[in-house]
Amino acid sequence: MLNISKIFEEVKVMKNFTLNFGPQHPAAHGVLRLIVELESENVVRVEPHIGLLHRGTEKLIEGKTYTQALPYFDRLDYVSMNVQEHAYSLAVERLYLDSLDIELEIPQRAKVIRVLFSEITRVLNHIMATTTHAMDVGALTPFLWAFEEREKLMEFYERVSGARMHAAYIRPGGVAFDLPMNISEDIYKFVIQYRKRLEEIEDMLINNRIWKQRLVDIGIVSAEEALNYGFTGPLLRGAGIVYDIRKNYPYDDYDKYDFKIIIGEENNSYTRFIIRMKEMYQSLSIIEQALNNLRPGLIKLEGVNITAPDRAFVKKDMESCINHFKFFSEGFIIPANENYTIVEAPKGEFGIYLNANDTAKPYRCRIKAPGFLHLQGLNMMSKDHLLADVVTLIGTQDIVFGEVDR
Amino acid sequence: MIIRFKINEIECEVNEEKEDITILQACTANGIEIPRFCYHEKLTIAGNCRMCLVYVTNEEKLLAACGIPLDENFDDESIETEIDEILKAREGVMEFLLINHPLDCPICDQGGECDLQEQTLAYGLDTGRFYIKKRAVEIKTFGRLIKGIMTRCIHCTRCVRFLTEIAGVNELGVLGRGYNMEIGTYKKNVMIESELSGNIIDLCPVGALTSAVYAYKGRPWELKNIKGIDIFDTLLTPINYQVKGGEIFRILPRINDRINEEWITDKVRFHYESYKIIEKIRKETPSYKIQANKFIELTWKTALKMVFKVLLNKKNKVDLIIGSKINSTNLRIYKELMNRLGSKNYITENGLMFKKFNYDLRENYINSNDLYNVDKNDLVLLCGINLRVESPLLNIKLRNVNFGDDEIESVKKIGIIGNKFDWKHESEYIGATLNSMLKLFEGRLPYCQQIKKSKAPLIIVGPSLLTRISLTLQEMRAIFMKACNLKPENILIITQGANFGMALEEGLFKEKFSIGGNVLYSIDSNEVQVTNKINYVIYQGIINDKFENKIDLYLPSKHYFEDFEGDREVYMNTFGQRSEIEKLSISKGNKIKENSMIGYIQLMYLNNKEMTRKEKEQKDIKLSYREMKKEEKRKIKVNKYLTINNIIENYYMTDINIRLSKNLMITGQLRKEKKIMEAGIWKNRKCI
Repeated sequence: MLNISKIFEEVKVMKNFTLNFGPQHPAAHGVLRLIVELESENVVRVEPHIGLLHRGTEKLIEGKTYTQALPYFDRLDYVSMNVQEHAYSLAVERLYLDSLDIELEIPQRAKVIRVLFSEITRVLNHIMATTTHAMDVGALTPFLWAFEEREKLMEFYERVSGARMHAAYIRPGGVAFDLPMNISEDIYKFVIQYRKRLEEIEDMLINNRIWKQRLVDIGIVSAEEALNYGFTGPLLRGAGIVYDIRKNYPYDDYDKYDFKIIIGEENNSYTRFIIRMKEMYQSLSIIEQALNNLRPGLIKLEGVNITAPDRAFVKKDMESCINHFKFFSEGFIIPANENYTIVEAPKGEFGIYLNANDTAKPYRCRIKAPGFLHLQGLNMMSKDHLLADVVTLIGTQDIVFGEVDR
Repeated sequence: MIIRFKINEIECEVNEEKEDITILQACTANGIEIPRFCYHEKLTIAGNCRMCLVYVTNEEKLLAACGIPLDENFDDESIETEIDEILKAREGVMEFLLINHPLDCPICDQGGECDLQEQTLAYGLDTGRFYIKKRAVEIKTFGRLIKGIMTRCIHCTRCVRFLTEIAGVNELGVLGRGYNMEIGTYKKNVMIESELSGNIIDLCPVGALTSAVYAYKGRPWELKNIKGIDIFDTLLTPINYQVKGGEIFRILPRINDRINEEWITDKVRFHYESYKIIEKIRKETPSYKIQANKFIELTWKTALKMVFKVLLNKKNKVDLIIGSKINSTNLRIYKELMNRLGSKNYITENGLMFKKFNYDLRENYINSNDLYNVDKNDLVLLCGINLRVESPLLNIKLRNVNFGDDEIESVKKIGIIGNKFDWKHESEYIGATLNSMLKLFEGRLPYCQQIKKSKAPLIIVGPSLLTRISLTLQEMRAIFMKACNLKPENILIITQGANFGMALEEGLFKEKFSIGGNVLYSIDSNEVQVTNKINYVIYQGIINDKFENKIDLYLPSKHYFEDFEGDREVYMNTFGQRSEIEKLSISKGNKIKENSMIGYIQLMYLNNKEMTRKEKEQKDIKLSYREMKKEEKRKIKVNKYLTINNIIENYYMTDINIRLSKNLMITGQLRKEKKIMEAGIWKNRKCI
């Protein structure tokens, strides 16, 4: 006779339910695939599977000249393009200018334009981060409102470089082109009206009951955990740690701008949402200051090989023609040297390690993307949460796969 | 006197009596680079570009480093190359050069490897200051091979100096002065009639002279270098194939001071376009002729079966002729194959020229002298060789031979027996018939005295002489040595065909070979013409225009640079020097097989057939011994009035690859027509 009770015992030993989250899930931010282990609806373990957007950027850069490698940085985190260009340009400049006997800095106007567009990019990114987060959680309206503003910012990109997203505008030695007519006025007008729009969005979300229910106390990261996991940006500042590269290790005269580092206390998803909103106000203030600092002048270094001659001259005199040809075919040679350059990207610390070896191409280019480290913490953050909170956590981490998969 | 001086604070010493060097050479020896346009190591010094200015302490003005020899004036002086004054002078020179240079970089073939670009970057200004109208010079044509966009010219005169001094043709010159200065031919549309004209493309520091064949094809930074050799010449000049994506884009010389210095012939420089044409018109599958002009395609299996059917049939007498490009591994394979079949009917196509050849000793077919030492000789006698056509690189090497200080004396020191051809000095023309040759041996010519007097004479014996006399090279050399009291290294024997020496090394030769059998097995032999009727012709190779419709069985095989195992293969030239080639694959059809692979399969098949090899070999040895006996008794017979003609009729027709390259072909035709035309004009004048 069968021992029925034994059979039932065997059946009772149950495995946890394992679920594939993404890569086609709309809240997976592109190509994230999560293996979520569930105990009823509680998350036991989250395992991110990455690499679906891997293009081998670092290896590709080794085969390109310093000039040709720049546009790859637009395509890493494709919602904060100019900040990454900024990082790469700084890295190349530091390597190149260190090798010269004289001390050189890029022109003042170029620095201001860089800051201007880095901050525009920060607003661009935070609009994307906060409102798509809201959309994932269920609030569609802020997304619709803010994306209209985002489109205006992209128009500034387009006016200045010709491309809405992959601008290749900030280049080693300065910026590619001077600002077009009336753009500073238009940016100023935008800043004024965007403050109001931002307030409207805040009104809509900050005291929204559903929004708070979904965000408050979700994904709490203590200061220690944040440091251990290598978090940077809002995820670190949310825990009350004052770390902003623009202040701590200022580049391109960020120390001359008056702005505040926004920090939180509890570091849950709601705190980080607030931090991002407040950071946008700070960015707007930096943009205003940058516009006031804008003075006529050169927009890139001249007299060194790191920048290409002006197109107008290329068609006029032989020296410029030759320099232009050599610049875009052979590139400029950087003596053997290495450095690690960091900037405050909207998502956190974005770093580039560059190794030059006396040729026109980098020997090694290692990219440190903030999102990659954040994604590692997803398992820790989603412990003891419900499956629906995983969406909130992905949103609050503000992950973009261009930079994670590289 | 030992001169002590400083270059940029580095102390240097030069012994004036031993070395005769210029400032520029001293700087280069000490690792200091001085920019230059007109100066070139292999050419005479012109000193007209003024780029190499240096500062010397006791001189008021800056000196052109390329042309000033270091003598006692430089004792205790110091030379400066990096001071502000020099940098400014260089900037000035660059600026002046660029005033009239067109903005052509984007459309110029020199872009990326242009001296003007590099030096502008290193020594020039960043932006120009002169926006005046630029001077323009009309585009000149120097034949089908060289494009002359003379607006780009910076008048360094390297091309003029190369052609007059080294190549020995006076077609290019400097016309006009100052603003109107131009490099050109005095008459319009004159073709440069030199076999080495392509070298002025390499010499030109800017894009004024560029290759017409390579025009707008590629950029230097995207091409990959693959080592190769000049297969049309027994010197086996090292070259570089510049390749992109399985296609040869151009061919440049590899510098080797022992063979070619920096030059290569036009033939090899421009022949590469034929590979593309061959790729289009060649058959890619084995095929068999059923009727005239009607072929059926076969699989390799059936094709090889058919080959064996013919080869193993005992009624058939098989002649194996191997082309001049086949490497030594393949020579060995096919010799082995024929030996196993019990036959010794094998020969290379260049071996066909000789009725007898004693290849027992290496010195009979490989010259022990070194091209590097050619300069030391003080007398040259050319016997039956048109050096200009048969070995242009050896020609220019010999043209620079120092014939003593007294030039009038030197005129008579060059003797030519055979066809007349252009030479640097007016040489003594001894005669074209064998009779004059005999006179020389007997010592009845005044020239004989000079041979005896000279310390290091050089006698160059060409193949056309060897074909006229039934002497082996060994005997020939012995006669020369006896008659003129010479050492073996004084005699240089130039043969045809890249693998001639290697074939003899492998023992691949048969005396008195004639295509008389009923089966002809030709392995990539494209220059042999078959006149008598042969029942069956197997052609294993790429393409053949001489056999016309006679091929019965065609086996497609690869080019010589694709046809070896491993990455590299070594060829041996007529001086016994080894030249390495790297593998380069351009054949696209996947049914095309390597000669070595086909050979190995045939050998494997024979192994299975259990041929007793020993018996065959013994038979072979007997045969050759008997022949040797005969040889000893033989008397030398010479027809005194036989003329020694050139063996190469047209320089641009010697190989299938050259016949198929469009531009070389047209150049050859133009040159031929021009000669006829000029002869015609001369005749007409005579009539008047």
